[in-house]
Amino acid sequence: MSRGLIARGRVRLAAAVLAALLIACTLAALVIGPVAIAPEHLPAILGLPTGADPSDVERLAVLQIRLPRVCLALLVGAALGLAGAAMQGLMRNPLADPGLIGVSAGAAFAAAVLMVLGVDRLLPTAVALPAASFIGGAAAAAAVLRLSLVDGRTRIATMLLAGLALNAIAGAGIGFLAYLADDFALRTVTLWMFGSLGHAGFGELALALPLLLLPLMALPAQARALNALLLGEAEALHLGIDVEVLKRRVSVLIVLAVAVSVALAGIIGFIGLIVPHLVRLWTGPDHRYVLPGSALLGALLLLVADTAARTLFMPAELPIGILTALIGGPFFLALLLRYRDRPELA
Amino acid sequence: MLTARDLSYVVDGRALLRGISVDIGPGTVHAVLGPNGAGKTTLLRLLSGELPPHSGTITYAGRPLQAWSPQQLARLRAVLPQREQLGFAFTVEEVVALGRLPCPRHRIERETEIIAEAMKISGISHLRTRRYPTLSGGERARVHLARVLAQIWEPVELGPRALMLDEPTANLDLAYQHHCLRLARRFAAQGVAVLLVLHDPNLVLAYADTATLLCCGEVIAQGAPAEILTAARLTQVYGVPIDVMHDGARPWIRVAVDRIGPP
Repeated sequence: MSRGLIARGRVRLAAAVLAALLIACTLAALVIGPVAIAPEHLPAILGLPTGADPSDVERLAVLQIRLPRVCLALLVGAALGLAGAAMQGLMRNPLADPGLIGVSAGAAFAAAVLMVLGVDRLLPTAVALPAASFIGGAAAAAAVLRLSLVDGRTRIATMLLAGLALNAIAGAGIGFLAYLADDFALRTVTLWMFGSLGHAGFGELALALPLLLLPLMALPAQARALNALLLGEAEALHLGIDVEVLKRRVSVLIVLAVAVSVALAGIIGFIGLIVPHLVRLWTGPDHRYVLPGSALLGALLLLVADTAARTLFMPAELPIGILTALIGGPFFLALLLRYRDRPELA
Repeated sequence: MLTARDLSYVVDGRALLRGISVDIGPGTVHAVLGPNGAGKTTLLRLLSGELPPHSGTITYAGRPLQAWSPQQLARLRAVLPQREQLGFAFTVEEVVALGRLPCPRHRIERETEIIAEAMKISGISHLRTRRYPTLSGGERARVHLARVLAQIWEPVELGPRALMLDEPTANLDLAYQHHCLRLARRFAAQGVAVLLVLHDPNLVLAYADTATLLCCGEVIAQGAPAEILTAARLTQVYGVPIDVMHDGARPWIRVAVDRIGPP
């Protein structure tokens, strides 16, 4: 009993720390950038009657450029962190990540096809893009799941190899499309390959909000069922979980979260891999804590990464996917080493 | 209470089970035994609803198994599969608590009490805060035993309870093998129908009320263990010379090591 209470205390502390950091980093991200904002002007810019008098440039930079970008970073980061945590639970495999196994690349490829071939003229881009990435991501997810399922379990090696192949195929496809593309499409295709939150506006946000809120709300509700699934499919069934329904529901929500993120910000790798691991270090593998925790930490991490990406080499901007891969690659290697000697996970 | 009629199960044209009928009453312990590949685990998976039989019927408390929802069955019945595959670092207490998932929620104090009791009777209280992947095979087996016991801890209005254990003694030392089966008997004494898959005929003789001897997917004999486990029958089924000895009125089984042929 004491242990349960201690765990709950730790979780509460972690949630409080994360929330405080999120607020602090959000405010900092609004202030930092090529246009210097006096911190004491920020409340007034955000509409609080403080008596300060910010300039029009300051208002424009914060409200029109940084605010939508910060909001998008928070949303996409939360979606990617949560999708990674849910996918690791679903595949009972701590190395599963929508980016590594090709779901993001599949989504990006489908979106690139749409843009370059100009199929988007049939439908408004705002609708067609997420729809195309959803189809591409779902196809990639289905392929990996089918390929790596051996005797009812996903094998790490097979899963990673299948992901490698899918990433290569989708990467080649995107490269070929870039070769065919005109200037405008080329820029968009490059965006998807390396990821960027730089094109965020309130229009994109209005689209992203409902599409991402659905998985952000619905996935944490599956926490208990995912906990049971970690025991094995037969065990979950005997704990009263309709396993097929659960797998289908969670897969669709994951693909939705990843596909919408890709449509808005391109491929941003490793968030879904790193974040759930960091959360589990603190809370253990219970999905009731890991799922919401991964959403919060994902939001925080992507916001920090994006702020770094746009300010490190000011006024030039580093594609954020490069930054997350730079951090995530070594992290992934460390994980591989850690699991190398544990055959029960293979 | 748990009744199966004429079950058969076919994989790739090969019948793994043929014409199996089983009847397990409330409060009784029924053991399934037989050589490797006899179909014991397949039978348990059919009876638990994990696999659909190709023909035959299964009823639980008079209702066809398919008429119960997974949630209802999970409240009535706990199943312990043979192979464990948990790779995530839950604590022992958290794994046992997963057994309470389908149960109607009590107050948190009552829930922690049930979990603590289940851990205590399974002999794992001292492992409460240990991470599951650091445990030995025998410790893991006891953690899952505690989990399934916690799942059917209390009687429910929905119907009679059942406990199905697939080789629960496989990883356990001599003392814990008996401890585990005594726990099964204790639940049977509360009216729970218990189905055990066991390898050791002596454990079947000591703890089961009724037994099914399977070989090559067919029932060889069914009834009270002391009556069906004859020397001639066991010798034929297992292919090694087996004697039935008597310790007072209690029969026990000995493999006649001297008379086994060369390998």
